[in-house]
Amino acid sequence: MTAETEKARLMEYIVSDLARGKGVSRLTDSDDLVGSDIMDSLGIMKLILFLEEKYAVKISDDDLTLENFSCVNSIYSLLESKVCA
Amino acid sequence: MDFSLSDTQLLQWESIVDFSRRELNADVRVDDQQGAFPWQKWRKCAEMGLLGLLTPEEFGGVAEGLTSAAVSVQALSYGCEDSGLTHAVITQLCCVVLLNQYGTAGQKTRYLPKLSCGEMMAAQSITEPDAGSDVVSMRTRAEGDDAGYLLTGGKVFISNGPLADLVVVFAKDSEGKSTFGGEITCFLVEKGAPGFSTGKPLAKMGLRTLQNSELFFDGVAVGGDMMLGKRGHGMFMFGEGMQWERVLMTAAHLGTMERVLEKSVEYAKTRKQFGNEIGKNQSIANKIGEMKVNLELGKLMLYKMAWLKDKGKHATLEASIGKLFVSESLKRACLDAVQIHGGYGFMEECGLERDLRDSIAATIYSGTSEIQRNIIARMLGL
Repeated sequence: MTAETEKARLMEYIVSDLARGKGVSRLTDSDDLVGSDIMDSLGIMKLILFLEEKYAVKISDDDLTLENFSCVNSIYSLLESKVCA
Repeated sequence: MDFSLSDTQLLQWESIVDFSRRELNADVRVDDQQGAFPWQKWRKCAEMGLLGLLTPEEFGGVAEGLTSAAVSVQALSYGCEDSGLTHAVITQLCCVVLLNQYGTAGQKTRYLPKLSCGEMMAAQSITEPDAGSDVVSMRTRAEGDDAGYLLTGGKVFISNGPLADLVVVFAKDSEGKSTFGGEITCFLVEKGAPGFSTGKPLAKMGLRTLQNSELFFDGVAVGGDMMLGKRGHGMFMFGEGMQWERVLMTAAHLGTMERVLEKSVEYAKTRKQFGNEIGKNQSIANKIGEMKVNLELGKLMLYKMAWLKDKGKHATLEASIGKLFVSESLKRACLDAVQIHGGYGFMEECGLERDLRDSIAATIYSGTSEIQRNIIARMLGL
């Protein structure tokens, strides 16, 4: 997977689903998703399910830190570490 | 796909139902009226191994998977007419799950054997006046670092709260990353810790043998070794714990539903009016038919939820669907059962009015029906 393509896919999912109704029309890959209230706790759970289904990876308990979900860059890094593992 | 229970699960079902009917149903009405916790029955549940269903064998448990544990809890609730006692058992199991999944080797060695044999009772404290399912709004604070923390704040409605020897406390770590106004970290607090106190048991509409209270943390010092899981991990632990809790609660609700259904069928076949069994009237038969439909559909959902967890998968959506459907079905079944039994159903002696009062709580704790609908809608992208 190419980084830019996958980050764009993640941003599209977050904007169209997780941030729906929150007045967010576009994101950058470094926008703070959690601190700016774009994603709440249930949103993170949804994102985990999305990642596991879409990329056939397993997000383990050790991966569940807010840092890993704080922005698109960190989500991509987590994903990349899983796909390449 | 295999819908059958294993021989072991069937045997376990039979032995727990037999045990529950024989050992747990004396004086349930008196205990309910007095709001007294049935300590002797609690100890019998421990001797039966019910508190160690999910505990690894090395810590004195029977190490069941969640599907088998759900069958066992369903059997307990089917046989035992004291839903408050069953709720206390489930609360203990949920604390065992958190300790087993996130505890250090030292924490497991210290607490799991005592929790599994009933020597210690545990409670998990999440709910606050302004935070229930909205866990990130909690105000209980943890100030400190890995060397030690001070806990300050309060919790409400905590099951097993006034009796617990060990409390799993979710608190906002204000020194953590600024997200949600601070990350949530989980701690273990023992009864008797300086600054920790409990309120009096709260008088309730139902589940009266279950003891609930406020908990107060007035600068409670906890060492770094009493942190459960990683710092800032509490929100994820809460999400995982809720899935297990909703499976076990749903199992208990289905056990009660099956008992209420059988009681209603028996009454509808023996009670006669105008020369006919009342079950021959469609208005009665329809109520019973609906109970059976909901019971069978609920079982399918329960086993799917438990199966997902046993496979190590997330079951946020499924747990909400199951909890919502079964708790609402239980409330409906209890109300219909009282109606089917007529004047007798309205009497305390019958026991169904207690099941009805208890069932109201089922649609409130572990996330209200309204919250479950919100979660389901959110999971669908709404």
